[in-house]
Order: sequence, then structure tokens, then C-alpha cells
Amino acid sequence: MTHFTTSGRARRLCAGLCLATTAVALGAALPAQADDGPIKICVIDDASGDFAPAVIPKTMGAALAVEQINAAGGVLGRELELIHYDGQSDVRRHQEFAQKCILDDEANVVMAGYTSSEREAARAVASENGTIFWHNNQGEGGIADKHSFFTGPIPEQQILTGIKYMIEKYGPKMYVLAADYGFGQVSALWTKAAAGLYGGEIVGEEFIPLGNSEYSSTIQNVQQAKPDFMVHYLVGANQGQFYPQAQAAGLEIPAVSTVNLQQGFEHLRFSPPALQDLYVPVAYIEEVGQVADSAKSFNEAIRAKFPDIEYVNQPARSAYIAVNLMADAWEKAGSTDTDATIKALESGLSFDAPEGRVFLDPATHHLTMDMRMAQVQEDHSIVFVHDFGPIEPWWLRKLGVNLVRENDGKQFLPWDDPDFAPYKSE
Amino acid sequence: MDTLTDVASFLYQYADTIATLVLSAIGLIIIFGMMGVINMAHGEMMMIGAYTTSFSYYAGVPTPIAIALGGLGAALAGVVLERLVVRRFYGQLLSSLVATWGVSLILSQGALLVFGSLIRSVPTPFGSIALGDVSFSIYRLFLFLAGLALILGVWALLRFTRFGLDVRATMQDPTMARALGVDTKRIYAFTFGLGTGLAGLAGGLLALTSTIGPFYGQSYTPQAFITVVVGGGAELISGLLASALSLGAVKTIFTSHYNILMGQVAMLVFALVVIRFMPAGISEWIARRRLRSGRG
Repeated sequence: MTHFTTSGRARRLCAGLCLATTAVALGAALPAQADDGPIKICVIDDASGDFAPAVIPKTMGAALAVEQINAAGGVLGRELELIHYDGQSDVRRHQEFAQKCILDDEANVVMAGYTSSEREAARAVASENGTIFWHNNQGEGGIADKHSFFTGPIPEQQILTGIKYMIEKYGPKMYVLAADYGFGQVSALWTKAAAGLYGGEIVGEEFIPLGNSEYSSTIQNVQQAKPDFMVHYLVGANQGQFYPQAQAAGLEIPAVSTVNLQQGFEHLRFSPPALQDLYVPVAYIEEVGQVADSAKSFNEAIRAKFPDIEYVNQPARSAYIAVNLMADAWEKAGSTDTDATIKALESGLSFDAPEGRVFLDPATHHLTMDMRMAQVQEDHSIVFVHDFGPIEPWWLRKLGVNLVRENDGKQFLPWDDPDFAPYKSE
Repeated sequence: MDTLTDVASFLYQYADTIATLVLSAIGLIIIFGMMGVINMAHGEMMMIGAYTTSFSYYAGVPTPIAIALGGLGAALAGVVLERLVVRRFYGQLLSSLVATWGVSLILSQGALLVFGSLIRSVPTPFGSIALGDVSFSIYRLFLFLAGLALILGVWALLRFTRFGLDVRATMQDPTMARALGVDTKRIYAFTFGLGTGLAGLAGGLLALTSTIGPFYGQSYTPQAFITVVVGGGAELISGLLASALSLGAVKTIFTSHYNILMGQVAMLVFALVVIRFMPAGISEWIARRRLRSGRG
């Protein structure tokens, strides 16, 4: 009786965990109070479909955390149980499985969603049922919700920093290529705000349907606009096709991206030099191991457990942090009661993450984290060209959000900030 | 100079769109037109071609041979598929659709289990040429020529060879063909293999500019189906050409004037209009005109 779906790499994931799960299942067969059973962490990750390459390592990050915590005696004397469902890169699956996690499995926490649309589908179910929800991906930010927590970098950590860096290094003119859905649209708004703040100019903006794989028109539009650099919010394996096609067409303009490389490791998949001079502000990529010992040991631990992991990407690190923070919160709360756990999560938790110490901001439910600027070299090796240091999730706080006192229960957009509003029409 | 660049840029994008449409549809239209089977596993045949190409390339095989092996691999897979599954569903359009869809799921999920979510992509050869502000991928232009060459090759195969004659006879009247000594079973298997082999070859050719994963073919199947539906099964070659030329023009014009989304929308609307007025596709309309003018 394992809760693993058998599709995709989940099967291999299972290999390491089935023993633990079986032990737990045997334990559960004995007459027992609900509180004596395992603490259930339900993850809905895309093990198949367009987003699978980027998401499979994420499940492995969660599984590693669960294994390490159980090996150290579990939480409150109970085992952690990881339940994984394959979201199949499909929004509807995320909604269905979120219901299954909460209603059938009675999970104590749900961690779901790669894209913002998947996240919102699952998150809606979680907040309806008053279940704690984590999104372990970088994202477009702005969500202020009592039950929702986030481990990935957000625009003030990636977009504002990244655009500023590129304007200073290459010049003001930028061309934006964004995936045509929530995340891409909101990220493009943030890019406008960043351009306005730092004296940049957007010379072109294109929204590309998810799943699109033909880029000859886009490439030529970029060339004719002659930007100093490009801004990429390209999502999924199909949109990644932009890189080999741009290289084949001789498009040689530096670019900054908040999603590419750190999730889909395009630099390892495509032949060099397709990604040369792609800049990515990251909290984590496997190459952070070159500069931080804690990252090196995280890479070794996850590769020891999952020898066929393709790349230790940022979502792997984010899911690892989320499970650890939940474990700390349950210990601190002394129970798995939702309100007590949220109170513990809002008590100023911190954790030694692979890239450095992270701090869970009580007011916004986002992380303060170390950010670095990664630059892809001609041979596709990575050099960290700038250290941004720890960056706080300051933007929601600036808008007056304080979830400890008040639950806004909504997503804020850049134009909700009066200081950004002047750049709306740029 | 600017107008020249714009014209060249438009023509390049038009050729690029046609190439993708022709390459993704050619295997499908053969199977649909000749055998009346809708092969839902078409994308997976392209995937097999792309995987074989990538594996061969990284095993040290020269690129052109690696692509040819991709076609061969998919052709063999097609023959096996025909013998095991497809032959049981001749004349049952919907059953064959469901059966091949099942095969499609098994193959793509199987590839995911065995090879993981992605395999290494093959570098794009030939580099680029610049013209004014814009530059063109030479390989993408080569794909256009390759698409035309494949169409020409298929036409010649069906028109001038004994195999082609047997195929056409079998498709026209299988009972009579059998009576005349044609091994129709073999012809069915070969035709199906020819279709999947062309899909594999297209998969291998396109793999040089793409990411390759288990769901590789599925990004090409929607446009392949649209191309086939608009073209229709009555006259394979002219149908495919007319379909790719018209769909490509609509898509390119709307993409370059508006954006990619509008290009896709316009292509679908165009397909809808064509099917409304020519339910059996452009080729049926061509065939009827030919009959009327007495050349059929």
C-alpha cells in the first residue's frame, strides 16, 4: 500500500522510500489514534508532460528531506510520509489530486504546482479546506494568504535585481519574451516596473503560447528591434526550443531569465554555445556547489539517493527547504494542528538551506534568501558574476501586508504599488 | 534595403512554416489517405525517429546517417505495430483511432520510464546567413528543401515503381488486387511502415533544432492533423501541398502581423472554413475538378 503513483520517475523515487512507507503502512494497520500515524506530506509534481524535466528533481528534494528527517527520529515521535501524485503538467490533475490529498489521504500539508496556473488550481482547494499549502518554485509573487507559503525566489529577488544588473552591464534597451499565462504576464508587468525604475526601455514584448515550439518569427522580430539584451520568461520543454533555434539562426544577444536554466537546465540539454551569455539570478542551481560547501554536500546527498537525477535544480532545493521548515514548525507547535502550525511557521523560523541560511518571513510567508547572478559561458559552464547577498521579500511588506495580523487572501500585482504605477504605460 | 529584408524575412518564415507542416504531416497523410487509418501514435513515431537519431549521433554515427536510421527505426516500429495491432482494425475508423491512441500513451510513457524526461539534443549544423538586420538558419532552409524532396520521393515511389502500383491497386480494390496475385497483407504492412518511416525521418530531421523528450512528437501532431484534415485523403500529394501552402500562408501572415497566438488561431479558423465548404479536404475538391475536366 504505497501512495506513489507509478508513472514516470516516481517509480524510481519509490525505490528509496517504499521500505519506509511499508513500515508506516504496517504501523497504521494496528489500531491507533489518528495522531499516532504518520504525518502526511502530499506533493503534486509533474512527473510527465511538458514540465516533467524541471519538476522531477523537485519530488526528489522533498523525498530526501523526508528520508533525512525520518532517519533522525521523525517529527513529534512520528514518521513523515511522502505521498506523491503525478500532476501530468495538467491544471485539472492538480485540482483533482489536491482534493484527493486533503479529503482521501487527510494530508497535513499540500505542496503543489509548477506553473502559476497549476499552483492556483491546487491552492484554491487547499485554502477552501483550510490546509497548509506550499509552492516550491520561483514565481510571480504577490500572494498574501494565511495558509500559503513559498520557498522560491520572487520578483524583488529576481526581476528587479536581474533587470538592473543587465541595464548597467549592457544598456537600457530590452526585448521581453514571456510565456502567455499568469506567470509570464505578471512577470512582464514587473519587467515594465523594473525598466521604469532603472532607466530601461522595452523595445519589444511578445507573449508566446505555452507548448509553442516554432520561433523563426520571434527570432527575427528580436533582431529587427536591436535590443541590448533580451528578457526570457519561457516555460516548459517546448518553449525551451527557442534556444537551439536562436543559435541556429545566429541570434547573439545576451539575455536574462528568471525561469530558464535554474529549472529546466537547458545549458546541459542543448549543445554549446546555444545558451552563451544567458544570465540567471538564482537562489540555487547545482553549480552553487562551486562556491558553497553546503550546496556541495546537498548535491552529494541527493545524488547518492537518486543516482539518475538529471540536475539538482532550484525546485529540488525549494522542496527540500519546505519539508524541513514544516518539520521544524510541527516540532515547535508540538502538534500538527493547522492553526498551531501556522503560528509556529510565523514565529521567525530559519533553516540552513543548501545555498546559505534562509529566513521565513512571518509577515509575507516568503523567504529571505541569498541570490547570485549566474552567467552561462561559451562551453555552458557557469560562472557566478555577482553576489546579491541575502534579499528580503520586502515588496508585500511595503504594501502593508502582515499576515500575522491580517489575512489578505489575495494576489497583489505590481500596479498595486503606487511607486510602480507611473511606469504602467511605458 | 529594408523592404528587401522584410520580404526575405517573410519568405524565410513562410518556407519554415511549410517545412514544419509538410514534415510533421507527410507520414500521417500516407497512412490516412492510403489506408483510412488515423494513426494517433504518429507523434510517437516521430519521437522514435528523434531518439534513434540522437542515440546514433552520440554513438559516433555521422548526422545524415543518424537521421536515416531514425527513419528506419520508426519504419520497423510501424511494421511491427501494423502486424500486432493496426491490422485488426481495418475499416473501423474509430476503433483504430482508440487503439493507436493507446499505443501512443504506452510508447510515450514507456520512453519516459526507460530514458527519463529528456535526452541530449543534437547540435544544429550549417550555421546562419545574415541579411541586413536579420539572419537565417541555413538548416531551417534545408528542412524546407528536405520536405519538398520527401514529397517528390513519395510521389515518384507511388507513381513509377512496382511497389507503388501494388499499393495503389490494393487501396483501390483489395479483393481484386489479391485475385491478381498482390500480397495485400504485405502491402498493408509496408504502407504503414512507409508512413511511420517518413514520420521517423521527419522526427530525425526536426530533432536537430529541438529538445528531445518522450512527448517530443506531441508538439507536432496537432498541426500534422490539421494539415491532413485540410488536405484530405483523395489526392495525397496535391492535397498535402495545397494544405501546407495555404495553412502556412495564413499562419505566417498572422504571426508576422500580430503574434504567434494569432497565427495559431488564424490557422485553426482557416481549417474550420475549409472543412465547412470542402468536408473531405482540398484534395477531394481538386479530384472532383479533375474528373469534371475529363482528366480523371
